[in-house]
Amino acid sequence: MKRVALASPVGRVGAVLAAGLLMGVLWLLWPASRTPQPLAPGGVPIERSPTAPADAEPITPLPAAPGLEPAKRQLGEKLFRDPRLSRGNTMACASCHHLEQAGNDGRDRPTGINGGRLDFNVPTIFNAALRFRLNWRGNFRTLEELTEAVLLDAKLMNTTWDELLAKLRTDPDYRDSFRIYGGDLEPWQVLDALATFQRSLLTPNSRFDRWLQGERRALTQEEEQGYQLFKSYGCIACHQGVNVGGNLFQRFGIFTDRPVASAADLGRFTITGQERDGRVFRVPSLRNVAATAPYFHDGSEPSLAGAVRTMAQSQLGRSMTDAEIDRVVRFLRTLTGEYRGRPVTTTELSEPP
Amino acid sequence: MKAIPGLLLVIGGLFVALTYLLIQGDVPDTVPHQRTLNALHEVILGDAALQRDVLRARAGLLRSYDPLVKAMGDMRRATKQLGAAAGIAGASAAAIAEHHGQLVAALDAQEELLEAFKSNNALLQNSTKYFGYVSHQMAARLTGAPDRDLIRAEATVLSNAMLRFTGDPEADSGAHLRASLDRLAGLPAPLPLQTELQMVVTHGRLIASMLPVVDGLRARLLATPITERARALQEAYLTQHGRAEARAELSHLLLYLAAVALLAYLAHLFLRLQARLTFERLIAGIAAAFVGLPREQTAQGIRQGLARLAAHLGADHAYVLLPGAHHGAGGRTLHWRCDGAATSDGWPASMLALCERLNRSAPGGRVIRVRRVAALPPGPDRATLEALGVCSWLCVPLRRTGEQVDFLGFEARVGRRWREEDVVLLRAAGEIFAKALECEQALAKKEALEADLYQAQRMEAVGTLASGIAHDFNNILGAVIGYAEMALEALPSDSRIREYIQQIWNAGERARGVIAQIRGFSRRAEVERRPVRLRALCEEAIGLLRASLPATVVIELHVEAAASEAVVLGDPSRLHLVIINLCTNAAQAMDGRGLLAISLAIVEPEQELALSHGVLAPGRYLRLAVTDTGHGIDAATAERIFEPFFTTKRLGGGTGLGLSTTRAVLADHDGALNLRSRLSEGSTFEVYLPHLEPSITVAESVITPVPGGRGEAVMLVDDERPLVMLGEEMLAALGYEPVGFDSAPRALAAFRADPGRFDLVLTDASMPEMTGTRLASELRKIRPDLPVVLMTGYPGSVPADRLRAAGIREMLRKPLASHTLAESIARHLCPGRGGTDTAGDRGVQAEV
Repeated sequence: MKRVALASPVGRVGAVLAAGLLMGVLWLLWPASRTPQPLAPGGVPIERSPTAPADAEPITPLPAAPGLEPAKRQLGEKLFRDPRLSRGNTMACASCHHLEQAGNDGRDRPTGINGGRLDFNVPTIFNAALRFRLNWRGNFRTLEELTEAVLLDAKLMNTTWDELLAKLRTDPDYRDSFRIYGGDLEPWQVLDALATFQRSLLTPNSRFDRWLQGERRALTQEEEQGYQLFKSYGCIACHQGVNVGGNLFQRFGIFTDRPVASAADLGRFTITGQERDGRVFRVPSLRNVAATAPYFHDGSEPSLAGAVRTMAQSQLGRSMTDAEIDRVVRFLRTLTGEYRGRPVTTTELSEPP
Repeated sequence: MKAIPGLLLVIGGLFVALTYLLIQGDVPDTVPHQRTLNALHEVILGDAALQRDVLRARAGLLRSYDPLVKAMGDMRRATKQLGAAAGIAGASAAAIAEHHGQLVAALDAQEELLEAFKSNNALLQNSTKYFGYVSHQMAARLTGAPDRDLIRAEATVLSNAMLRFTGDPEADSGAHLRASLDRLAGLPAPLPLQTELQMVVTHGRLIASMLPVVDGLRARLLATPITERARALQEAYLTQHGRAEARAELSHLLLYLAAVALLAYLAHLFLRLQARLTFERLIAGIAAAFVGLPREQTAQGIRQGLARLAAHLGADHAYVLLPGAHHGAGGRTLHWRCDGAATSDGWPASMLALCERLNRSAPGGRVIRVRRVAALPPGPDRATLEALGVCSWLCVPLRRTGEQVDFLGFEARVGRRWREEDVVLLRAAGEIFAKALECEQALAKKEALEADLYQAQRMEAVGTLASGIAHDFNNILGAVIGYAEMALEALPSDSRIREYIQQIWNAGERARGVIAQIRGFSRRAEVERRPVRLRALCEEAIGLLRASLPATVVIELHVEAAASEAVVLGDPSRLHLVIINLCTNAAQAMDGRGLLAISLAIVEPEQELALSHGVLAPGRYLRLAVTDTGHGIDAATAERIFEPFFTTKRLGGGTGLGLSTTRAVLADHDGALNLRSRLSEGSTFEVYLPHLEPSITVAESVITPVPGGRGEAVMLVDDERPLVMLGEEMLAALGYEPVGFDSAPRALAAFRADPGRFDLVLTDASMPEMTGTRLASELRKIRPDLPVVLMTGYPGSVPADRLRAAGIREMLRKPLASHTLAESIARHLCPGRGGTDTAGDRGVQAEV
């Protein structure tokens, strides 16, 4: 009877099923066969970054550009320089952010796509990724948000996603490049590529950073004195951290009342509508400050020395002598870093507006 | 077919249920779970770091705000991630989402406070630093300057006030500081160190106003319940996660149970399949057992098969019920009982009745399965089953061709579940039994046919032999009787010689009877059929019998009203012989004393009727029954009684041909024989002959007076001289003028010499020089109107067409009887006379 049972089709099927089940169980029990699930990608591993040492300088050196996916960064750069991102293909991101120079446009205020002058001075795009908020009023938290706003802003790139994606889709190069994201071309992919590129725009290796890293000869004595003045006069109260500013809000005009000529002068108030935010701006970073004239949110100050003087009066409630200003300016010049191995240079107004 | 949607439903349901369990059993993935926990930790750690750094910033120990920015950024990112993680907890995400919302709100509040703190603290730190710096400068520069005592004093007061204020920014100390600052500001100008003084006042005032603000912000920052909310979220999340895990465990358990149940079901199916396989093998074995089984053992084989089936099914009683005429009149039952006990009274009949009733009420061969008879609703069915002592019953109708339904039944004395899947196989087994029975019957029929064929061949051989003997013997007898007759006529009536001759004539007559029997037996091939009224034949025979049987034998004739005019198609003379034979046999069985009853009746069997010797097909028959009150016939004798030369009489008492001839004659008439007998009570021989429609006119059986001649000349030709002489005597006695020849050529020559001399020619058929037909044709060439009658000792020796061609009017059988001869001659000499055949005339052949 047993022999019969095994010879029957039922017996065979049963044997196959049992064998399959047994193999499944063995597979489950076999520890090596299960691919370990990495925790890190996508997740946020706990990173116990040491807080800045209490006895260190209030300014810390710029880090090297973070490891970014080269394909995305390259795609982002291509997009950054592509005027097709604007309506009428007239304006690229790079039109206002000259990467070969100081990452700004060198003007007090830019001209919009429709020809009108805009309200705020173009901030340099270098080291923008390190700012805690973006733009003068700090109304953007991430590069992606800012980038999308710039693309869709009627005064700026003035495009729409439909229009922009249609243009990108017709370009075989882009079609190829965007394949790294998989799936259909979508806005977030464009923003991610652009943001990735912007995160790479750091300007390390300034003389001051080298000094901070222990290269004592990187600064002259006067420049070092300028730094000491910068600290003792209280500039450092706001302009500190890795980006020498850019990590808090502050009112423009603590000790002197600055005239309010336009809505732009009201600063963050125009965003929040709260009285305490009147004339409050994001404290600008002083990285590459010597190359990014003119100064202030409206670009009203063409010279660095003038800006320092104004700052001392309005923010510190004191006046500085020309000698002191000169030293501080000397110090500030040491904050100019390098992009792609080349020192950041002042943006020339060679291009027509 | 009905089972398929049900099966699909079950499979679909099972699929949905298992899929649901699988989805429910999805343990929250460990990776997102870990990420969630990490994010919660990050928020809590970030909050701690933030609080620490806020304190450090307030104390001026924090060199940059980057750590604060970073802590806030980390918390924000982690919180955002928590929002996504809330979905992990599954259905009850609402509670999680609420906690998360509270955390986000707290974080937003915290951030707002933090920004304000940073901005204000930057100013405060700057002013504090500057205030200290300028105070120190002033103190150094005022030292040793008497005109500046007042300022120095005030500056000292201010320093103290500031110190007190920064140490404890109470309202009191604040007022003190402000008063001090006001005083300093109110000093009349110009003063030394005017600029510094103004700076001190400006920054001092800023400190005085900013310090409480910053401290307030700091206090609120530290009080923001981020960690608490994060912990609450963590608590809620872990609770939900635990629940999800518990649910997953439960559904895993259910899945496992389902798998085990399915496995058990699989095992069950396997066992059932195996059981079925066993059953199939059993049935195959049963079928195989019938291969090559001798016919006689078929019933035994079926009983064995039933026993095996019953053993497999656990039944105590198994049977095949074969109702109706299909298997003979009374049906048939084959059964097996485990203990061999006797069946209940009226078992097959009542059971069969029940089966047929149930089958009629639910046609289509529905199987009846009764697990417990006691559980049946009360009624006749239950009563029947209970009366038969059945506790559990299975009845499988086996549909055969036509309306016939056989039944395969199983009974058990305990409650039994009859499995439905067995029924198909049981049906197959039933078919096997039915086939076996059919086969058995076919074989029986075949054997009977073979026996018949053998009998027929034997009869034919005997007949041929007898026919030859009878011919020669007949010629001899013709001479013996003829001369005896002549001798009798020639001798005086008182002569002793005449007495002897009379004995010779008597013996000759008996011998003629024997020859007649032999020829009746062997003349089967040339049956002549005509409508015959059997009653007349019976009456005729009775007339003859009364004369020949002793008076102690009482002969009665009972004729049913319907049968009195009944007609059968047949040879009257041979049928007459049948009656005579049967009656003679009966008389002999009674040893010459008793009642011999002859009855005629119409019977109409509707079904095939089994007779003692053969079967009777359905139809309308005339039944002739001959009943005696004799010693009866035992079974062994009954079996052989119709065989030729079989006789129970002592040697010389009988020919042993009477009943065999009867049987042969009846066979030729599509009739049948039935013998019923009881030892020492008597026997009844029943003869069945197909009844003919009464519309057919029947020639009356009449025995006419022998017509005589008036001196017409008759030429008699025979190669045997004695027969010529006998014929001449006969013809002369009948009033004709015989002219005999013992040679055909000489007869022909004589005819040629005077063709008009002869009125009729009587010639033997087979003669050495010239056959009778040849002679006849020669004679008719000379005189075409000459009537020629042929005599022959061989029946059927001359074909009818040749007779007709030769112009032969009639053929007579030898030995010639004088009244046969007389009638024939009279008929042909004078066609108006006679013309009809006469019953009992054994010599008459077909008229040409």
